[in-house]
Amino acid sequence: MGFSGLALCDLLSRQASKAATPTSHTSGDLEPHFPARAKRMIFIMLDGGLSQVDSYDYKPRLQAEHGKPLPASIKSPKFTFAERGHIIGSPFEWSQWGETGSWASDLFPKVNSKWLDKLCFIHSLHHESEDHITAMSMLNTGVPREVRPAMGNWLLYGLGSDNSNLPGYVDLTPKDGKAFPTGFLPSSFAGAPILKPSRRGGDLNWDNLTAGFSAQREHLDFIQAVNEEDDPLIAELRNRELAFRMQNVAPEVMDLNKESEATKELYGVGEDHTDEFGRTLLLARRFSEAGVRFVTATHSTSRYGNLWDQHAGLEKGHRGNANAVDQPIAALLHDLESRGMLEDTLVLCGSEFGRTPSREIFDGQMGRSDDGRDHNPHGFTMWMCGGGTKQGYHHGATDDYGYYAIRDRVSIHDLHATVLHLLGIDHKRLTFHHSGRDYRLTDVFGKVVNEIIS
Amino acid sequence: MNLPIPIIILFLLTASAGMMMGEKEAHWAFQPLREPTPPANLPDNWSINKVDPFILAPLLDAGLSPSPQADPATLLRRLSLDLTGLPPTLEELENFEAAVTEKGPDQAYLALIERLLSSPHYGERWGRHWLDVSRYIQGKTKVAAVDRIDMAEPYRDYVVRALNTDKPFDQFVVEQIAGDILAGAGSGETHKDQLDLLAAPGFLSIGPWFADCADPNTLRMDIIDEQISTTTQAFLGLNFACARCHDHFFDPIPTRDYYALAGIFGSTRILKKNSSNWRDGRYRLTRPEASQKQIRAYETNEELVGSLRRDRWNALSKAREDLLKRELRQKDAHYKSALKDLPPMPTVEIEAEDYQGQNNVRRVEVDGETVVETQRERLQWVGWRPELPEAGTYTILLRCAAPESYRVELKIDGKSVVSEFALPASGGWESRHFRWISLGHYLLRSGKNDVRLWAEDHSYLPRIDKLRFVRTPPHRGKWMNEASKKWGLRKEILSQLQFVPQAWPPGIADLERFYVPEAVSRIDTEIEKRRALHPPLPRMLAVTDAQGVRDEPVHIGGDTYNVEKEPVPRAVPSLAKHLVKSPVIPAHSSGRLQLAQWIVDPGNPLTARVIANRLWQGHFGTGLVATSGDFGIQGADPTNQPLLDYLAARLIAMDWSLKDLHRLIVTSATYRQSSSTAPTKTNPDPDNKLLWRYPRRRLEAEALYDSMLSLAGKVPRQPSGQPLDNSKSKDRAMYILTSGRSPLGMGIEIRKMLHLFGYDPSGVPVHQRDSSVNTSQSLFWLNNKLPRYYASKLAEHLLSLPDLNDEQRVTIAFRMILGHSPGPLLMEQTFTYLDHCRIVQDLGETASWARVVLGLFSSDNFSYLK
Repeated sequence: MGFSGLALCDLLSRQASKAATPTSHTSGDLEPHFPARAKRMIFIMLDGGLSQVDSYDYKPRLQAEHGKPLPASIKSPKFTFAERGHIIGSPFEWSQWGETGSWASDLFPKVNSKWLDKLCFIHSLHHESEDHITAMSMLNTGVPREVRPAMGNWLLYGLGSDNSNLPGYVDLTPKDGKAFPTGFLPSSFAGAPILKPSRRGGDLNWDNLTAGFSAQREHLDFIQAVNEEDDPLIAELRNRELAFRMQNVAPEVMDLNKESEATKELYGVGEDHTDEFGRTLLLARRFSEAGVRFVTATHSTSRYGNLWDQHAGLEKGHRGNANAVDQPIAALLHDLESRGMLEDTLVLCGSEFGRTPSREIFDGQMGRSDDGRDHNPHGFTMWMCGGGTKQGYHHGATDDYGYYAIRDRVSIHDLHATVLHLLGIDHKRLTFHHSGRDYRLTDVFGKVVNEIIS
Repeated sequence: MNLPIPIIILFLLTASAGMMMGEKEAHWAFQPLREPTPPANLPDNWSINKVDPFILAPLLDAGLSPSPQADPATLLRRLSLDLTGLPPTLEELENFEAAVTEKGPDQAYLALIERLLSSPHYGERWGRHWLDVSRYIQGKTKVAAVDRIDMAEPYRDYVVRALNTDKPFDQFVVEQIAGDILAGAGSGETHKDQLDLLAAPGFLSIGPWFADCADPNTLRMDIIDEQISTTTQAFLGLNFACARCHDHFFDPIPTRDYYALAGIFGSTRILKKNSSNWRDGRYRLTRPEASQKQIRAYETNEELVGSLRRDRWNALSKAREDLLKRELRQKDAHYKSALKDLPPMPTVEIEAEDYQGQNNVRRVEVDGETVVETQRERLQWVGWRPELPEAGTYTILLRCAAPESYRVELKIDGKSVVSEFALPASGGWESRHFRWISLGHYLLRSGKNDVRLWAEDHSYLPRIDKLRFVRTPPHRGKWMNEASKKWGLRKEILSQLQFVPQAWPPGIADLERFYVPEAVSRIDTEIEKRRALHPPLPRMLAVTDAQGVRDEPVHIGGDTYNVEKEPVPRAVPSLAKHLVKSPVIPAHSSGRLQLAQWIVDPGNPLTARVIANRLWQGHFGTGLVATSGDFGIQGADPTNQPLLDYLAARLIAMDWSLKDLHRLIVTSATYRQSSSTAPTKTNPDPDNKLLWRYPRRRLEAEALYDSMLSLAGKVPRQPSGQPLDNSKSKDRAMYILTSGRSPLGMGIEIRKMLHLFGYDPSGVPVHQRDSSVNTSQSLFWLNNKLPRYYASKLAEHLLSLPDLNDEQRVTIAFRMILGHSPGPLLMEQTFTYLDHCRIVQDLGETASWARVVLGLFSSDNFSYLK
């Protein structure tokens, strides 16, 4: 499959939206702006805020200065979620892993032991949004407080889908309906949410795709007969046919029973801790393989959300969460590699922000707990793998306490620009005209982080 | 392929845009508006009114001719959906056919225009169009920024009413920007007018923003920016937001103009407060939706209730002394013995301050006791994890105090077990006001349980001191009967005593638990009566001028913390200064009234053109300027500027009556054209920009949903000429979308459907609906339970009609759903499908008919306006 093989679905929606919004640029370039390193992307979202100083950003001073206040040189941000308390050492074991000898804690032993040498870290991400909602919006759309299209919408808008029978952007999330709307992009570039991928052995629920009744062919023929009395609308006709095909194809993609027992075991499907996220990532791989351009896989919970938000109970909370995702993530990377997909699939893993090196003071008192960390958008870590990124590479750094990004700082706009670049898109040229101006995912900012590209 | 223009060229264009603002070559939209004379001397036997020559002339120039008039049934369906968003009912279709036979198609059509323009549903349909522009959205959406906009209905209803009563558009504009100022000046004549004036500026307050934001200063500027952007787009067709950071690249909008406006909006109060504490919430300012008289009556009544409450406290205090004398002195020993006799009830008591998780509550000392109280006015909850010795039913008791009754929700292990639970008022916040209150009994498990108490949104929790979990076995009632009989005690006292033995003798606040003296019941009845007489007043969003008006300095590069020294005086934009005199803004006023009056000044070149174009867009799907929210240099060129100018000038001449403008448009031959003329191969205008036929277009999401709803008989048509009774319309999409209502338990499906067909739930101004076609829409018609539900409702109705054969039934179905009868071939194909469902698929009669109906719902003729 190549970019020239532009999907019918996409072509039709482009034509339709062109007719509807006459002055909008109705698409980005149908050809990539330059050779793409990645053809598709999987975004593993750890909802709530993975602590960088407990996973991949090693700061021995935290252990050494546990219980002491942060030095005055580490200023408090202008506005914070809560008042800042004393330093907490990381409760996890830190060691050097693999041939590169990269430092990492023992939170993700399976990922670290097999993959640390192949991951590409950005340790210097930063933005200004202190709370989950605005931070999540920032990470997805590049703006904190407005409703704008998300990265996945832009990718679909710019590149279309590689499978004419599937949507180009699939959102695997237990958070019912929390998917971002498309903002000003037409709804044809929306992600298709697949909810609750957790029900063990249960059917996956894909909105409107579960057949309402059999014998669709006769039904479609009847609709067509009604239309033909007048002059039929070609786009609607093609879409109905496409829907009919999708109806047949999609359930097959979602049927995990097509996978071997060994593969399911690899992902931890059927094991208590790993079943849910194992299924999610196995599904992510199946969608990617079938040509879905962008898949997000969110590790969260439908009940309260913010699963990784350990204001308290850092050790237990992070350990439990990591146990649920470690094996599935390692399995996904292995699976992609063994299918030859890793080189052109970009995997991105991280949270909307990291966590502070200190605990918080809350309510003028002790705080919620002595073993929890506050939100920290000022310096946090994400990793990438495959899709043209360097292996075993560490970009940027935070200060000695892991609070602020200080070296080779990477903004969210830079991250977006880099992701688009890896997928063959010049972020400055992917625009949509709306409300009197050309909008971009990166607004008027963004610089490709060339150092991380292999 | 269109590529964005490199920045460098932007600057070159900026320079030339500046030059174009010279006297001679101003951009068309900034040129003065003058009424053009319709083209004359055309070979014309087609035109009906003066709109038509404007269309005919360019058609003839392009070698095209207009299409003939559509047939009456098509026009009925087109005009009904276009003006009211509802398809004609079978009865309306029959009446119209009769009128066509009787008076001829022309007279019947003209009468139809009048009936529909005076229908109260007109305001719902065109009000919704305006609500798109004013980015109206409310509550219960999944979009974080708008999930707490509520109390906006008065604004919505104001818009609908304004359109139904044909409020002059200039007045409509002024009221939305400065209605509160007019109300203050006493310009509303009646009480209802006064409330309308107060509801109208809800326009400024309903924008999306995040209640949570770590940086209040940036949020303040963001909110001002949102108001500027919405206002300038809505009325002027220009987006000033670009000028927040730099002079507008293309349009004559310098940054100074932006900050002159920022001063106006910044001096307007729409927030309750803007505190530096990010979790204090930036709630919108509200006020009672009532007249001054009603507010005074309410307040007087509340004072009376307050004094009754003091009487009540005194009565309780006296009753307590009696009780102590009677029960305590004489029977104290008996109670103690009886308690000892009773089987034990395992109990866990925890201090409220030992919570395990909370949101926005804090600990405070009250007379040496630590208690928990509400910290901020939003999302209050507090949770505990009691460790219980055994599984079973427990009575949960709370020791708390509050001067008012607050409603709470109790969640156990994340599941709501009781909501809207009214904790009674205990007399005040002080230590003497604390009392025990039973929350009822619930099944809890052995070991840790997660118990959370939530305050209702926008409300408070009482001060909470302790919680008690008392194992309550099923036979307890029997024990109580026996023990109270044996010892000669009062059962209700003994029972309460057993729950909290140490709370004896009771304090004044706690007394009611044991016994309610008659005097207190009497007062309670009185309080209830008074409260019923004057219930809490409904609230609406409020907009006022701020206490201190304040000019804003230019924020360099849009940076909140990098400002120029001198503030920019509040002023209207400079872009029409050659046409409209800039008003003087009084020193102590925000300047909204002057801004509004400047916008609707007949000399303003933009306002009338922008609204006339919006009306044209509503009727034809695309405006004469395709970018109806952007009349700037980057916007689309008008496809027919003489016509647009004619309509705009007529609108002003007709005293800004929108209904008159509608009438002018829909009476025209242009509007009445058939949509089914096929383009010839050599047609120079395949996109139909010149309107050589009526442009077929997909109905908006609301009209699609309302059509199904209407076919199920759920939208009773309200008589023309009467005010709208929206209690009868409440299931229509525009109300569902903007309320928490979830009819049929399918609220989520309805929301999804509306989004799928182009409704944008994100709370930003929408100038054109997204009418893109995608596969998910086809899948929706094939599989979603919503159309299936309405299809089966209609199938049931069809089958309930007596004495019909299949052919008559099919005909009725087609006429109801699509507005016309099927031809012979289609009739046959329908029978084929019906029989396929009946025989091959072995479906029942209703199910088979439901398939046919669903097929008609799924057809283009249902979704598209022809």
